[in-house]
Formats: sequence, C-alpha cells, structure tokens
Amino acid sequence: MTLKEFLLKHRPTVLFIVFSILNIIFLTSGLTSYLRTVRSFFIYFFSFGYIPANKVVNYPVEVYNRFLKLIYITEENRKLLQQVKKLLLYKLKYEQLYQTYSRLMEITNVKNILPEFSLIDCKILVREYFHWYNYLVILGGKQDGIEEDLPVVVVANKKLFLIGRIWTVSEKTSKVLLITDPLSGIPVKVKDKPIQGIVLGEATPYLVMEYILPEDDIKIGDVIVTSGLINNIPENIEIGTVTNITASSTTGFKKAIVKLNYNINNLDYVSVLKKYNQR
Amino acid sequence: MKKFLAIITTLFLLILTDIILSKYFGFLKIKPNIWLIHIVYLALFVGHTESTVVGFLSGMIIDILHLTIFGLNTFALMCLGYFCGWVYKRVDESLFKVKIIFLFLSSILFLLLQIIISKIFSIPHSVPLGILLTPFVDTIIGYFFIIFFIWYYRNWKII
Repeated sequence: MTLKEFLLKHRPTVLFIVFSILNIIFLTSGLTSYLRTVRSFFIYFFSFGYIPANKVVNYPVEVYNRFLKLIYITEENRKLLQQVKKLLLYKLKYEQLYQTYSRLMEITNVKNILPEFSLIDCKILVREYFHWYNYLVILGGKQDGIEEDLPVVVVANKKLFLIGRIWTVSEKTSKVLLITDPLSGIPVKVKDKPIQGIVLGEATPYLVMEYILPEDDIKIGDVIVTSGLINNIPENIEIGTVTNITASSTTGFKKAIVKLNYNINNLDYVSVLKKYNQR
Repeated sequence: MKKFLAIITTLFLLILTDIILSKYFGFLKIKPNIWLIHIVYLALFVGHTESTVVGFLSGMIIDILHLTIFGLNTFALMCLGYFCGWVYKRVDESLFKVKIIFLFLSSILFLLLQIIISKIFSIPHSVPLGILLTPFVDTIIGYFFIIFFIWYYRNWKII
C-alpha cells in the first residue's frame, strides 16, 4: 500500500490528526486576541445579513410595542372622548347662556320703546304638533304675574313682534293663543297710514286683514302693526307685511294677506307684556 | 463541486440563522446549536470526511463570530464531526429514533468535549446550569433542522 492509497483510505482520520494539530497550535498560541480584526471583517462581511436578521428578530418586539401603544392609545382615546363629551356639554351650556344673554340684552334695549310696560321672559314649555298654529304653553303663570289677555311678544332686532295673547293661566304655566289661530282677532293698522282693520288667524303662517275700506290706499309691502284699540295690547307692535290684496265683489271691502315678520315656527322664548301699574 | 457549494451555502445560511437565534435565545443562555445539528446531519447522511472538515470550519466560524477562546469550539466540533462520522452507513439514518438519539448523544458529547478540552488546555470555561438543558433543546429543534437539511441537500441532488 502506497502513502497515497493509505491517505485516501484513512482520509477522515488523517484530516482529524491534521486538524487536531492545528487546533492545539491555536489553543496554545493564544490567537484569540488577534482575532478581533478577523471578527470585525466577518461581521462587516455579514452585515447585510444582520439587517434582515434584525428585522426578523425585532418584528415581534415591534408588534408587541405597537400593541402596547394601541392599548395606550385606546385608553387615551377613551379619556379624550370623555373630555370631548364634557366640552360639548360646556359648549351647549355656553351657547344657551349666550342666547339668554343676547335675549336679555334685546329685552333691555326694547324697554326704552315701551317704558310703561314690563317684559316677563318665559320659556316655551309645550307646542303641540296638531295645534302648531293655534296655541302653545309657556313656563310662567300667576306666580310670575301673568294674567289673561296680556299680549305675548318676541323680541328680535330691537323690535317687538306680536305673536299672541294669554289665553288661560295656571299657577306656573300659561296657554298662549297664537295670532295665527282662527279664534284670534287683533285690531291692527297699517304703519304710517290711517288704515285700520282686524287680523284673523287661519292656522297658517299667514294672517288675513279684514274690514279694509275700498278707498283705503293699502299696498303690498305695507307693514301691519297693532292699533292699540284693544285692552292691554299697546300700539305699534309689529305683526307682519302685506303680501296680497283682494277686494270683495259684493261688499267692496278689501282683504289683505299678511305674512308674519317673525318666524313663528322658530320660537324658543317669548315675553309677556304687562303694564307696571296693572294688577 | 456541487457538494462544496451546497456546504458553503449551508454554512452561510447557518451564520444568518445563528445571528437570529442568538438574538432570540441570547437571554435564556440555552440556544440550539445549529452547527452541531448540521454536523450530525452530515455525519449521518453525507459522509465521514465532510463531517470532520465541516466540523472544523464550523468551529472556526463560531470562535470568530462569538469571540470565544479560539480553538475551543473548533476542536470540539471537529472531534464531534470525526466521532459522529464513524456511524456513516452503519446505521439506518432514515429512522426517527436514530436521528433523535444521535442528536441527543452528540449534544452531550459536545458539552463533554468542551469541558475536557478546556480542562486540558486550562481554558476558563464556565458551565451554567441552563446549559444542561441544551441537549434537549438541540434534540427537539435539531430534528426539524435535519428535516430541512435533508430537503435542502436533496434539492442539490447530493443525497
């Protein structure tokens, strides 16, 4: 057997011996301290592998961190929602207060128009769907000094608009007969003109002014105000504007359709007019 | 040549896997020794010479990458490759129990070799208690790695 044949036959053992010798040299020569450079080279060589490896390793950690963040965000969101709800309530309260303030300011301003009258501010309590243009109930009654037949007005744009009269009064509430109710009849006149008549309700946002004499010069666009001929209702409280005029073929009397100058559908608060000396 | 390329690419993949496993198992101090698993696979399926040479190379890579005492792992893995290589074609490597028993015994042998070598060459080598669990981890995880290696080398048409 030649050396070559022996080496080929016992290749693993030969390699084992060679490697063992190499290893003994490695272990006895203390090569470790010199290997830092080789290691750096290896790490540099495999650095592109570190990036995906790190990504693979860090991904579950990231997911976990995101999950934790999600919990935190959910909690934060819950708190913020509570705060938003509170703020919305505050906003509503603020708006309500601002509205009240504005209304009171309006009332203060119009007091100069009717110095002998006091205004009793009342919130609308009930307005029924089936009697929308007939009546409404206000939060204010005998204990607030409200009496029957007192005029009910709305204050807007430094003006008073008549919307009805007190119909019945209880201790704490009152029923207001709206001027749009067919039972309502208010003596009125055309502003700045010597034309008088009566407005009647028709259960619509429009009123009818009757008993206008044929020779009266009433025109579309004329403003209708109270004439003061009825007890308790002062003069010159605005009601509406003439939108159409017709004449009766038999009697000759004119009839005017009056559109209310204040949107009666949008009532929130009303004021009851009462003379200071009235008991 | 095909065998050489297959082994080189496997070593390359093992380096990347080792990095990942070091990150995952680093805090536990119980890490499956994929190099050992690879050598066991080579000893069972590829050949005696291959397991010895790859054992030597793998040990060098570990010593360089992990900056342990240079030669310790090289010697231990090379010995392991050589000793395990003796069973090549002497056992039925396709059997499940053969793989499992071989993995377990190899892992123990590797630990013993490390201790013996460190004693002979007076190398400070600590043996934490957790390391005793390594043979079990190596056996369980190693089995799946061996299945992967079989698939991988079969694709290279080596086995």
